[in-house]
Amino acid sequence: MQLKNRVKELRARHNLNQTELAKTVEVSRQTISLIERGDYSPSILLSLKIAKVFDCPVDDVFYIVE
Amino acid sequence: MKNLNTSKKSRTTFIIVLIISMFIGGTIGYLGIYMADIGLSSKMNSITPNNLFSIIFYLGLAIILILIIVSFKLRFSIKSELKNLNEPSEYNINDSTSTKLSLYITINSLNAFFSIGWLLCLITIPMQNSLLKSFINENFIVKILISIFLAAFVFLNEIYSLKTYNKIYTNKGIDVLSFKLSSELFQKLDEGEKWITLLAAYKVFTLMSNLILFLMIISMFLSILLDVNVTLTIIILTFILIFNKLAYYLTARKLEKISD
Repeated sequence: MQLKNRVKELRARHNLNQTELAKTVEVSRQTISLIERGDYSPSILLSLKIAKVFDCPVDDVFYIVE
Repeated sequence: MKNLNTSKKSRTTFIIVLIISMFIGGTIGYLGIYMADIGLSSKMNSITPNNLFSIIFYLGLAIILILIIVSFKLRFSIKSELKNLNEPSEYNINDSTSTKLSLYITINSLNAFFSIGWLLCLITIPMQNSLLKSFINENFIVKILISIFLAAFVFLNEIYSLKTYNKIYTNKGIDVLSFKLSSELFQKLDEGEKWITLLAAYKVFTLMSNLILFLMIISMFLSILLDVNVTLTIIILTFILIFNKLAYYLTARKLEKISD
């Protein structure tokens, strides 16, 4: 099982760059980059914060691939 | 499937390491016989403490000066890039400045460690076999003063580089003179940065454990081949290896404790 995400896609749809998203959810740009690349699975708190920015449920942003 | 690939990969790595070890072992064995023939160990003994002092002084001086030049080049480049920004912060610096800044801090930190090691080596050489009396002359004092001045300069340069870091990463605010520098900084990192630090630290830990073991074996061979007493080096390396493993085990045990 692998955790995938649509952060990059949703970010583009909301016209946000990595820096703006990072500033909104109070993390560094590197952390957003790590998440988008799939190198890091964020905590529940950060996942909820990111989903809130995109105004959608968490499982629309993060999903599991078998 | 992934496990199969991993096991294939580790088998290949094992074979490569085995072949490299065979070459290294063979070469050391051959050199051992060769050196015994040409009497290299006796030639090594012809290096006097005076020669050794000069070699270490000039070699160390060259390395430190090169690192200082690289560090200053990076400092000016970072400064000029930051000038173009109104209020430099971690959110508006570009990738190139960020990379240069981390390289700048790393080089200064390496230089600080190296210069302290260099200074201690220079001080300890005359202490061997009570050679201090024959060493104390104008030339020796000037060299020691130069090395003390350089070590202090490199240390101040490191503090300056951390202050530059603080100006950009204002939320981190490293207290440059704090002895709890690393633990304080770690608490201020966000979860992604903590993850990167964890991965890097684990890699360093495993690499260091293997490297120390390798250095112990190499020291033993050198001791036999060159007739140089390295017992103290091996004792120190063993101590570092044991301390490393023990500290890791105890910290992990503390964190693994399951509460009711």
